[in-house]
Amino acid sequence: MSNPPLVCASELVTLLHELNQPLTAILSNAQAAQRFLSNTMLDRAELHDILADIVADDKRAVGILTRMGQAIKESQQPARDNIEEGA
Amino acid sequence: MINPQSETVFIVDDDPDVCRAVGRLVRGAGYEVREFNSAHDFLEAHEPEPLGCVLLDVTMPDVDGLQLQESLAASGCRRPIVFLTANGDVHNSVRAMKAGAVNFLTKPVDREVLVAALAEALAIDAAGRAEWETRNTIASRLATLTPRERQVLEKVVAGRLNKQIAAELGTVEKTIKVHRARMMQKLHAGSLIQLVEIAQLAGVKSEGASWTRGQLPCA
Repeated sequence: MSNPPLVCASELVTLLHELNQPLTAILSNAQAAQRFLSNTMLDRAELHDILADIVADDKRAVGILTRMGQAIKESQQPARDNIEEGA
Repeated sequence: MINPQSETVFIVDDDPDVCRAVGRLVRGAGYEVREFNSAHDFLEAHEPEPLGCVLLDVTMPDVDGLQLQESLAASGCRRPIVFLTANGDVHNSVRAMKAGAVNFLTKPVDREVLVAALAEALAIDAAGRAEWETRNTIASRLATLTPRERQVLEKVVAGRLNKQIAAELGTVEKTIKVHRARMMQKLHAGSLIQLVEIAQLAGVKSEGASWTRGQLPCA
C-alpha cells in the first residue's frame, strides 16, 4: 500500500498566504479605528466603513479556512479508500 | 497634484482590501496616501517630485514588487521602498535589501512597526533630496567660474600655494589672489575647509594633489 499523499502542500501554502491578506486588512482597519477613536473629530461614516470592511474580511478569512479544510480532507480521501479496499 | 510639502506614502498592493485598510492606517499616522492596485498603475501615475516613500507588496500578478523596485531604480528614481510580504521569504528579503530597500515587513504588520519603518524611509528620502539639492546648487555655482578660476580652484584644492599656482600658470601671485578671491566668492566658500568640501561634493579633480584624503592643504 502506498503512503497517503501529503496534503497537497503547494495548495495549502497558497491558501495560507491568502489568509494573510484578510488578516492584514483586519488588523490595519482595527488599528486605524483605534486611532480614529482618539481623535476629537470622530468621522462616524469612516468608522462605519471600517467596521463593514472588518466584517467582510473576517468572512473572507473564514472562506479561505473552509477551502483549507476541504483541501486537507480531499488529500486524506484516497488513503481512507485504500484502507477500506484492503479490509 | 500632491502638496509637495507633505510626506506621501505610495501604497502598492494588488489586494484592494489590504490597500484600503493600510491606507487608512497610514493616513491616520498623518501622511498623505496614494493607493495603487498594481505595479503598472503605480508606474503610470507616480509623481517623483513629492517627498515620500513606497510601501510595496512583494507578490503581485504581472509585475511583482521586486521587479517594480528594479524598474524604479532603472528610471533613476531613488524613492525609498518598504516591502510588505505575506511570507517572510528569506531569499526575496535578501534580494530586496541588497537592491536598497529600507525594510522588509511581514503581513499582518503591526501599526507601530509599520509607522517606524515609514518614518525611517521618509527621513532617508528627505536626506537624499537635501544632498541632491546641495550638489545641484554647487554645480550651478561651479558653472559660473571662468576657465582660469576653475584652474585656480583645482590647484588650490590640490594644496598649491598662491606663489606656486602663479608660477605654474605663468602669471604673478597678485593675479592669482584676485582669481582665488573671486572663485571663493562665486562658490560661497568662506574658508579653505569649506572650499575643499565643496570641491569634493562636486567631484572636482584636484590637479596633482599633493595631500592625502582627510588632510587639508595649507593655505
